[in-house]
Amino acid sequence: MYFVIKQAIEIPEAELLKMYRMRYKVAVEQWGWNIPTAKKGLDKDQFDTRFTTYILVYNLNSEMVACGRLNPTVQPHLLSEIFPHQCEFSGVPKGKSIHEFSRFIVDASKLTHSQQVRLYLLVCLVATEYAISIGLKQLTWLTNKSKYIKSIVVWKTRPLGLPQHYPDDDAEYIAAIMDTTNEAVRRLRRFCKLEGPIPLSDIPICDSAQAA
Amino acid sequence: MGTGVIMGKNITEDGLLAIDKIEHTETLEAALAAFKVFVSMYGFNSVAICQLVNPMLIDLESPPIFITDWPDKWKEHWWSNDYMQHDPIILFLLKSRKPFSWATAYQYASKFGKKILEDSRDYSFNDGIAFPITTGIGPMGCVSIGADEVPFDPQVLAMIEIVSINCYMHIVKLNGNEHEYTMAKLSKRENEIMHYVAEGKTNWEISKILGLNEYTIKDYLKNVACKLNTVNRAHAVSTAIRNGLIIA
Repeated sequence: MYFVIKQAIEIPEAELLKMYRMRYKVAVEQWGWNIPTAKKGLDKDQFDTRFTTYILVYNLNSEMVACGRLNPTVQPHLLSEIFPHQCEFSGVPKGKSIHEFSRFIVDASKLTHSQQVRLYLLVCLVATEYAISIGLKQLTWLTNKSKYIKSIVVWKTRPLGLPQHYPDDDAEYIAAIMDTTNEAVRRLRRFCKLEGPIPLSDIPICDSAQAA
Repeated sequence: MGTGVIMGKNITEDGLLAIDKIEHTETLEAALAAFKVFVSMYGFNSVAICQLVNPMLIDLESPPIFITDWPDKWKEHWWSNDYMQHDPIILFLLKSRKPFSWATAYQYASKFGKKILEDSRDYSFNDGIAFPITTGIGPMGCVSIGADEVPFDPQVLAMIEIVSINCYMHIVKLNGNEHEYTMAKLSKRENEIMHYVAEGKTNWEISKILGLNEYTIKDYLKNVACKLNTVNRAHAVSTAIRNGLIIA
């Protein structure tokens, strides 16, 4: 697997398009998310900005298999603009040391269940290592109950509000805040059977060449 | 901001405080006690936390969790009569992803299941609610709490559910059974067989090397496929190598 973490402006447009396409395929077509801004096979919204940092994961065939999005909470982001009602306990957390983690997508069609579980953890690990490296203390996210449960295993996780049911998706979502600590990194490395940091790669060259 | 005051208490503050207290505990019993303090403020008088595992799929480092504050007599009665296999709450848990009341489980229970819940009333288990802890692949456990009368305020129940989830996962962490995230280990024999498979040997060849029946080898490999969630021989080998279960 190749793990890439880059800011939006460092990523070629072709790769961003691939990511928007994968997000649409998984989130809209498979999970049935109702995303008003998603159209023409692309999931791109107002929070895909120049301030956004992306995690992109490619398999050995240079196919994109997972992605995640990190937005500074001092800028408009999903929780502040669309889902503030999910943070009823004490408001939407904002600050320089807090980023929002969203659009965490793993393309299950290319992976077995055990590969998905492992990749899920690897993306959590790479996000946590990156967050610590740039001085972030916490990540927020809006997630379903099942992923909230998983996040507790990984990070110290607190709810920001009660779960709310969305009839269009027939799912309950909960906003949460997680501490990005060295303890979380240790736990994730143990789960992934890794002893050191995940090496970060550049975008696989042959893939970009094909896209171009 | 914040949810309202209910039953003269602030459920948000109580819930968040309970999560903090639970996460500072270092034993299963202390975590259970901290959780009980929270739910008893809302009229609940018993707690049971259990972990569901499929022993075919999972090698646990320690036994599955089953902790309760039940009276010793009821605990003994429950175990000695093998109620685990028939308890309507556990059976209903397998098909419900949402919290359900004990009364609902009773409705769908077998005759024997109904008897279990009726017996439990002798120990003051009149009603209660069960919170399934489910992930994408199904139920992994349950937090079940009893009360004379279940409070049906949705805000209270929603907060109790969140505290239950945090408590359950903390207990799982304490017990070292985070099986959702760790691949099942292969047994010594399975490991040995996978080494020969990785070397390209056939089932017949492996059976001769190990002095076992060829069908036994097939059975071992079926178990390996089940544990690793793989579809064929090559897939099993590559998955086992990738996950460090065998060394290439």
